[in-house]
Amino acid sequence: MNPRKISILYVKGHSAVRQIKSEGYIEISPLSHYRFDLHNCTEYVLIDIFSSFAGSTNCILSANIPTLALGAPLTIGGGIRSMFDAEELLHRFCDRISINSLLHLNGIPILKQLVADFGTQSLLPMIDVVSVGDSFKLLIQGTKEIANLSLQQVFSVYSELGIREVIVRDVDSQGMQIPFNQDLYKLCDSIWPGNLITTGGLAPVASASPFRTHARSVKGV
Amino acid sequence: MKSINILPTPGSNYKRLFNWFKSLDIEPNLTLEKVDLASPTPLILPGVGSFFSQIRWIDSYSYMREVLLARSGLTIGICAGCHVLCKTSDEAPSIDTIGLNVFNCNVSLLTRLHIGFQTIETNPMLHNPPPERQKIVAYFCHSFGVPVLTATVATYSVPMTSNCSPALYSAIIRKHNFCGIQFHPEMSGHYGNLIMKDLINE
Repeated sequence: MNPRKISILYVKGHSAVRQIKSEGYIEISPLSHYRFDLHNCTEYVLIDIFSSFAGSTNCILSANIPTLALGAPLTIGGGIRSMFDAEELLHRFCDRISINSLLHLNGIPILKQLVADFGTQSLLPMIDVVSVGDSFKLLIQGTKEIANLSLQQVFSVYSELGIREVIVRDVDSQGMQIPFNQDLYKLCDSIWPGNLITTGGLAPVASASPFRTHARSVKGV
Repeated sequence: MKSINILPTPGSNYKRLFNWFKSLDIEPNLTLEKVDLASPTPLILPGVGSFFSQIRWIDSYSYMREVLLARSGLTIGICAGCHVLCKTSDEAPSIDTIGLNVFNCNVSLLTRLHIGFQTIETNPMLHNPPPERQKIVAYFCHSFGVPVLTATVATYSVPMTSNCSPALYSAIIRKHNFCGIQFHPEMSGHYGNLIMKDLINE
C-alpha cells in the first residue's frame, strides 16, 4: 500500500481558512485559487467549519473547487444533517463525507441509514476533542457546544456501525506552538480498533514523529 | 466523440463520473431508460454506495435486471457497481439479496478498510497489456472485496494482521462484455484515465 498523505483543509464561505486561537479563523485564499498541488497529497478532506456552527447548508457545494482536487479522492464535511445533504455531496463531488454533530443531534438511526445506503467506506467521522481538566470532552456544532456523549461512547457507536476510520482533531492544539495532545492520542489508540487519522498541531516534525511510527495512524497536514 | 451511459444508482457518485468522462472527451449520458440500457453503448454502474441499496434500487424497476443481463455492449461496474455484478455480498443484511450474478461469488468483508493508492498486478494469462500498463497505481476505498476468480484480470493484496500474509483480491474481473473494477479509475489520475480509455475504445 502506498503511503497516504491527507490534506485536511478548513473552509469558511468559499475560502480556505486556518485557525489561530487568538484571532479565530483567518483566510488563506479563495478556495478556487487554493494551491492543492503544493502539498502533493494523495487525498483531500475539506471541512466547512461554519455551516454546522451557523446551521446553514454546506458552502463547498456552491464553491468553485480546482480541478486537481475534484480529480483526487475527496472527503467533504460540515453541515450534513440529513440524507439529502449526504446524497447531494456524494453524487456531485466526493467519495466520502465527514460527519460530527450528526450523531449527537440526529442520533443513530440516520447513521444506520447512511451506512445502509452509502456503505461504511463513505463515512469518515471527525471528532473534535478539547481537554477539560483531566478529561476530554467532545465538541459539536462547529465547536460551540459540548456533547453529552464521551469519546468512548462515540467510538463504540461508530465501531458497531462498521465504520473503520475516524479523524480526531485536538481543538487545543495550534500549528507550530501547541502540539497534538499525546495523552489523547494514546487514549484514542487504545480504544479505537480502526484507522486513526489525527489532525491539529502536527506542524513541528518532532511532534508528528511519534504518530508516524504507529502503523494505524495517518498524519494530517 | 465516443459516448457512454451512466446508471444513476442511489448513493453513487454518478455526477462526479459524469464530469470525469467529459474531461476524457467521452460524452456521458445519465439514463435509466430501457432503450438506452439495452443499446450497445458502454454502460457504467457507478461506485460509492452499498450492494444492498443498489440491488434494491435495480429491482424496484421491473425491467432493469433483465435488460442489464441481456446487454451486448460493454458494462463496467466500479467499486460497489462491481459488487452488484457478483452473486451475493456480506454487505447485504441477508443472503436472500441476490446480485446480478454475472460473477458467481460472494463479496466478502475485508479485515480492515482498504483505502489509498496501491499498485495492482495484471494476470498475464488473461490479459497482456503493454509494459507501461502491467503495473499501475490505482485508488481504492472499500470495506468489501471480490475474491480471486478465473475471470480475474488483475489483483491487489490487502494487508491482514501482522501475523498473516497479505490476502489477494480481484482488482479487475472480466467475463465477456461485463467488467468489474474494484478501484476508482475516476480518482486514480493518469492510470485511471488510461484504463477507462482502453476499455471504452475496445
